[in-house]
Amino acid sequence: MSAAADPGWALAAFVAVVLGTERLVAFARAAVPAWLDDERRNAAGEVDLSAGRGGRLRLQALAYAAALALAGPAAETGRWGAGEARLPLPLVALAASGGAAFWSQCLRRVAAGRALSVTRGAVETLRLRRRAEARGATPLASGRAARPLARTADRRGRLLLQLYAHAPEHLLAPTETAP
Amino acid sequence: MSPADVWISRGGGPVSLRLHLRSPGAVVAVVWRFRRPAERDGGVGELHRDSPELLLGPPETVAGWGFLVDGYVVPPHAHPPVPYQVVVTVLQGGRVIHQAVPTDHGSGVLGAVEARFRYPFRLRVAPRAGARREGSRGPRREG
Repeated sequence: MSAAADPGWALAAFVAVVLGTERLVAFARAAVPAWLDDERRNAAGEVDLSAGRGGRLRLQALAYAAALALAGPAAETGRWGAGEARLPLPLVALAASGGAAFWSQCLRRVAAGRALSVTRGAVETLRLRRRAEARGATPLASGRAARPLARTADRRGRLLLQLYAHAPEHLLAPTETAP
Repeated sequence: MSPADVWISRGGGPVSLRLHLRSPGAVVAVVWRFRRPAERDGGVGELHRDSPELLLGPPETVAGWGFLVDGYVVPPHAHPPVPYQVVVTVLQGGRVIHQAVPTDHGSGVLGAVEARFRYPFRLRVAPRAGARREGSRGPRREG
């Protein structure tokens, strides 16, 4: 199969090689996680760069091989590209493997952001429950506020917890403008 | 401001509470019980979509106690400001005996932020009609 003369096609094909490389590496990590572990941690839970060196090297070699395998069929006489703009296949494979690593980092950051949001919600929930208990207003065991907030977007659950945390001391307490 | 007096009858059945919102959105509330105005006894329960009616108790237990409905009106997503109105309904034996809109932020315009409202009320036992007709000068029997 030879690359088309259209540069747009070449760009789309390159992106496909990048994403395909990332997926192949992800499958391999799921299949043999110990062999491709690039984040070995020490006893303190910190990333140990020297301990994970072997895994990192194997991972990068695998990514390069995957990119080479995916881009290879579209190459002509060892060069890959469209029209007059053709690059050596090994260079394209190297760039694609780098792109796959970048894409993988983006996905990890998104997942970390989501986990941070969940953790923040859990911390806030704990704070509100402690405050409610300090005021002698523990959420009723049968109520919704006593259930764990499954999602940080559980607005009604959070509002109920806020009501317990700011339980009024007087029957005629005026409404606070902000809890 | 003083809590609203809600008159219940001794033989009228259990007293319960219902909350209704007249606008798009949702309402959540916690109901507190007060032995005296400055002495919170504890929480009675929660009112929300999953629990629209809350049982306060039989008349002999709840008579004389103060209750406070403390809640939030939750605006719907991506909705322009709309007028809202919270309606608190007290029932006894399934029959509506009292209905009111809280004066403390029970109505207004709902924007992007939740609106907190409060409604205090006190349950009192209605005097027997017979004692009144006989012209009794004895003290009113209240719970």
